[in-house]
Amino acid sequence: MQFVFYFLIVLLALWAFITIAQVAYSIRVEAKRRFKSEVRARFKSVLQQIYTEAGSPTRISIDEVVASLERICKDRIICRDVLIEFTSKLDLDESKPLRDAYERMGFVKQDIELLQNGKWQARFEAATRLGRMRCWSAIEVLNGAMRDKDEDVRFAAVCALAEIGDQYSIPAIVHALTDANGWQVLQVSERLLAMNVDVTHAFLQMLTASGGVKSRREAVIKTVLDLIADFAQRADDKLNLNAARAAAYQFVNSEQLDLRARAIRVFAATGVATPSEFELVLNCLSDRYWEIRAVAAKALGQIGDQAAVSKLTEALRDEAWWVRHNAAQALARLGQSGIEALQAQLHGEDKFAAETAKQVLEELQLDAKSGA
Amino acid sequence: MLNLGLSQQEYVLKQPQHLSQVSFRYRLLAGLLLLVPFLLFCIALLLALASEYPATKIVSEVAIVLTVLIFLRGVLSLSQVVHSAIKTRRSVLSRLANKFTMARSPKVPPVSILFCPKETQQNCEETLRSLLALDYPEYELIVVNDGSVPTEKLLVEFGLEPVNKVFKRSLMTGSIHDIYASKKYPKLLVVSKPRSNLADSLNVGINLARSPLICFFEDECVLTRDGLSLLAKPFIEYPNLTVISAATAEMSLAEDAELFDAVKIASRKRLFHSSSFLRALLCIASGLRNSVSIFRKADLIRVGGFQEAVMGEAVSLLLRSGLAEEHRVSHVADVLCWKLSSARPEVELGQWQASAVLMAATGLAAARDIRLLPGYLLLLVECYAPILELLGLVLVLGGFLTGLIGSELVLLFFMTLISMALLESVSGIVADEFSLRHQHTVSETLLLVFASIIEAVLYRQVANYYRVKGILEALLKA
Repeated sequence: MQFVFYFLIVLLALWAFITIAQVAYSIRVEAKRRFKSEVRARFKSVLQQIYTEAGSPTRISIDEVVASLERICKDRIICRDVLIEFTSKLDLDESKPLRDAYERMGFVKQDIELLQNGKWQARFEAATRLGRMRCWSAIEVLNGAMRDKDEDVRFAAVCALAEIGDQYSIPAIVHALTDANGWQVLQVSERLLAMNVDVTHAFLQMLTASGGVKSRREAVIKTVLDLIADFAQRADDKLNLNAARAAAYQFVNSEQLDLRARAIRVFAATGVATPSEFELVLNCLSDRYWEIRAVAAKALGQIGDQAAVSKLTEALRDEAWWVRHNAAQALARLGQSGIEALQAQLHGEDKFAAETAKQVLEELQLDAKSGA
Repeated sequence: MLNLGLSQQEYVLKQPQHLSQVSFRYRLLAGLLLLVPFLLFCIALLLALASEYPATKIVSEVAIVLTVLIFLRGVLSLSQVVHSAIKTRRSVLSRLANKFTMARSPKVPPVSILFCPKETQQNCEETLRSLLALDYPEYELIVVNDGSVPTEKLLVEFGLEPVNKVFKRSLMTGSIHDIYASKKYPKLLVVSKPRSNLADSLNVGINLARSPLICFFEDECVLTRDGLSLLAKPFIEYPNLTVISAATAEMSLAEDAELFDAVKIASRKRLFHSSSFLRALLCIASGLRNSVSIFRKADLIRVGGFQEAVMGEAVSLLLRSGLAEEHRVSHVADVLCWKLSSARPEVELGQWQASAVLMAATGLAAARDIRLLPGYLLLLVECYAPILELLGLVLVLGGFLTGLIGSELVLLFFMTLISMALLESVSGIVADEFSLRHQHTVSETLLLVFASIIEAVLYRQVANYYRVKGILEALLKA
């Protein structure tokens, strides 16, 4: 029994220790936070003075920036964090002296070392910092970090490479995205969009590359086709649409369902330039797989060519309801002729087609009334 | 958008079932689950007392067993706190380091926020303004006002005008008066309707919502600017698997906070971290009033909408969304929602406990999936914990007063109870700080540490009473 009491006393002592440690930690953190805000304020005024005196970022002396920062604060970690904070507030040209100062103070070297030998958090933070500071010298190490055992580190490395903006890293980034979830793809594609380079060459090269494991190659092609569709919708100035269409053309008749569906989505995003491309998408409405027919129906709505009305009207009688639904939606998008085709189905013999047409027409009516 | 990964049949909507039938079945199951061990315990105790075995020894041995169980439960809680601290820190760190963007992309689904102000709502206009300034590419805010807030005030404040909005009545609801929209705030839609229960208001909002995702938002809360993005993140990550995403509404330690507020915050921190393994299910199941959550509109319509808008409905929804199939129920650990005023703690604690019981029961119903087994055990521990502590307290004090238990055993029991409670309580605060969810100042930390002592020694015993009451309410309310 005595042993049990001793044990409980140890527990209470443990509680007392944790409590004291927590309070001590709070005191330390608060003091650090206060000091950091002081450093930030002083560095801000010094920087303003340096930028004003120099007149242009190119005329700023890196040594002066480094010396003033070291004069303000001896704590290297705080110096590093403050430099990153100010860099992220400035545009690419304005922040160049700060990025050079970051390298001059040995932080890039330190981050590279951490990325190679640190624990997961150190590796993750180092990769993020290298991306934010757009350290071109770290590209090789970041490429290596994309094979890190930790998922967070891998993702941080992918983001960093995209943020640095090296177009030669695009293939590696796309390869990494093949295993990523929707959120990660979204974040990286945003950074790729911000790269300000034409991605056509990089994307097409990946689509035509051969060798490697077949499943992996297909995964890469899927990701590239997704990205092409995304770029075509949101940043068509960074993508040669004709080249993108030509690339998608070769996958419309692929054996793989996923690849075919994605190729059709590319046409939906880029539009069609030639009658043969339009025919190709139109023919997909007669595919033996309902998934392809459904994607094709939707794409024809997005392409907006009135020539698709008759085929889409036929698709209203498809055995798969999703195809019927997409076909009806596509007809509604095609304007008056599409709506007339839908109305004609209302009293037709085909029960499914009539129901689908009725539903879409009702939705259209609701939208029109709401709009009014 | 077409999903190639799913078969066509999975798009077929199931016929809605009646919620109360499902709830009753699981409440019955929960009752049996909790009552059977206690009946066995009572029978064993009566048999022992009827035998020649001395009563003093029996009561002492029962007290020792209860003490050991309380200790083991404390160890389990502490391990969950450690797990929570490490896991949460990782996710918060990753979010803080990687500045994220939410562009208008097909990958980002639109969200409809439903807001039903209560009569007690203060600064409704401020709350609406904060909701209209969220950082999310495409969302709408639907305010369903059943007369709790003067509509005229909102009309003037937001430049609202009556509109002839036509919508599909997917759910049966009561009548509505008018629908108002604003040219100045195109995201805002206000519906005025006769006074009714919350469920009807929510169902009206669901009918009006045009987005595939619906966010339920408590009236006395404020979302952070990127709150909706963080909450919708699981739906972007795994669009075909995620069924619910939720986050806990946090209480802030204001400058003029009273000690009781700090005690409540300390208690919430402990509960948050010590339920790490089951947090997602418990937070969602404990009701709309404790969290901010996003559901899929199709799921809500499939189950026939809300009937009472109380705790337990979300459990039913979860159950029929396919608990045994592959799905994701996400709980976002980041702080994205602040409570402006807290509900009465007894209500919150009761709901939490009742949800644990219901989740245990519903989990048991889906026991075919063996992977969920550790989850059941944890839920059972969560269900039994307050009962064990209260039972132990009554037994030891009663035994001591009647002379059946010696003072040494009483001391042992109380030392175990208090030391484990103190450790759990302070570790909740440490875990919160370590996981970077909150960074408190020195004075706030001192206040919280002092509050955690009160929480462990006094408040916890009162809380146990309300939690047991919550269990009974969950079982009896059919």
